[in-house]
Amino acid sequence: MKKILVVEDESIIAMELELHLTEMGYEVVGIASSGAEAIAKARELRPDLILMDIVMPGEKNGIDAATEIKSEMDVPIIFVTAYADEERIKRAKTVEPFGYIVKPYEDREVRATIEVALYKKEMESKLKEEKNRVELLTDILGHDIRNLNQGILSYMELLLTTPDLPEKFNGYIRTAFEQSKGITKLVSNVRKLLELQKQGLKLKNIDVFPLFIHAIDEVKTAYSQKELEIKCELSENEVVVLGNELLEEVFYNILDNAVKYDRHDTVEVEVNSGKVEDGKYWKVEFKDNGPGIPDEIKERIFTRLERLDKKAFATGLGLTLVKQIIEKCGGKVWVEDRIKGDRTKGSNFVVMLASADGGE
Amino acid sequence: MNEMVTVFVVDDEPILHKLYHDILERKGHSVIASAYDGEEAVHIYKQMNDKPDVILMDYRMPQKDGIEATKGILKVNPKARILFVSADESVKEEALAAGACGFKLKTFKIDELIEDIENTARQKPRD
Repeated sequence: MKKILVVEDESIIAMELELHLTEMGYEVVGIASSGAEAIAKARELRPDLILMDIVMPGEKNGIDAATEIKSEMDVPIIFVTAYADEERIKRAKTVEPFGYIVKPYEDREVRATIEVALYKKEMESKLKEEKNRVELLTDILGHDIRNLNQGILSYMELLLTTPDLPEKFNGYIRTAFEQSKGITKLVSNVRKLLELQKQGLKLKNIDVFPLFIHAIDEVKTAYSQKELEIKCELSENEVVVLGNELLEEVFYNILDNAVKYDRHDTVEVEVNSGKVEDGKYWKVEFKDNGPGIPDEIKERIFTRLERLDKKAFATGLGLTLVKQIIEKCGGKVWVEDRIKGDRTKGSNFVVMLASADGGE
Repeated sequence: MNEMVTVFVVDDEPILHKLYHDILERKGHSVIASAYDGEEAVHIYKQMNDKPDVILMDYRMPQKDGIEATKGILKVNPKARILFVSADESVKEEALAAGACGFKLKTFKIDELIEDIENTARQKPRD
């Protein structure tokens, strides 16, 4: 039997409600006549559902009590009140109630609202449980892949230091090594995407230069068989934007793609920056000489998650992460042809970030 | 040439014990003890006559995790130098707060780990 707590300051109405609820097959575990008593009884009796009057004597009204109860326990609350004015409903909504019954009410209306609330609550719990399970599995997957990959990477590294290793084998192992590192990167991207979704980003003013330099170093170490040449006039304390250290991931992933897909042994990337839109934004462009990106998928390479898109345009979720980070910073990112109209000449990844001084 | 560093490896993955052994011996360092759980780590550490220069500490282990083991070992010897080596990015701050000297995220490159181990060994004992 589902346990219900009735919060109602008029004792006749409360008793009547108790009687009807009992007839409907619920157990009324308690009756409270003020906000403070409602909080105390909810703590003590742990009901499955609370029917809460809004206007009551004492310091705390029904909405205050509901707010406090919700912060402590996961119990569905239905407001029962004679007032249905816009302002009150708006305030009540902030507590995310499972229903709102206006007096005078009919028994079947109360019953239907309670049943819907209990059902919704059950579904919500199942969903939460499922979400926790998926999160745990993702976490274990990431952790264990890192551990397994550690063995693979390190033993390949040991192989590479074997004296007199034929040059051909050296190349094979390096390729396998880089692929294996890609697995770690994927795991790290998934983790960052989940964290972004869950916690968002704390923004501050940040100079992108050191992040950019670090990203270049990382990409250079990742691709030992290729040369990376960056043409760039960026300097320290020049491009200061609203952002976060995660912007390094943005630069890393854009450069990583430029190196990965460019078939030349020496990969050239040109980086330009300048203020646009009355100085409100910094526009940073990354121009590569890779195979280019067809118009049909220029947008889709960034939006796998939003579209729940299983089709892959590139492995690793790097550009998905790029877009999510930039949007959390209040910026924009897109790709266009390096030379307009001829996509085979390479791509231009454009990043717009809000400038720290807000523009003048 | 660097001086030989003695290392105590704490990790629940047998393959990683083998790996640490292989990469440390190559550089002339020595794994002097191994534990596969935090509980076991504290127990072994207590019994050791010659304490290791550096302890490599995993986080997720069957009974006692790396944080608890770190606290346990530091209780025995507050000067113990513990280098966390974990696949858990999220525990870095907690590990350092518990008294670890450093944190290395798996996957690492061999040279990076060796450098971290040598640096940890060279750190002055804490007061």
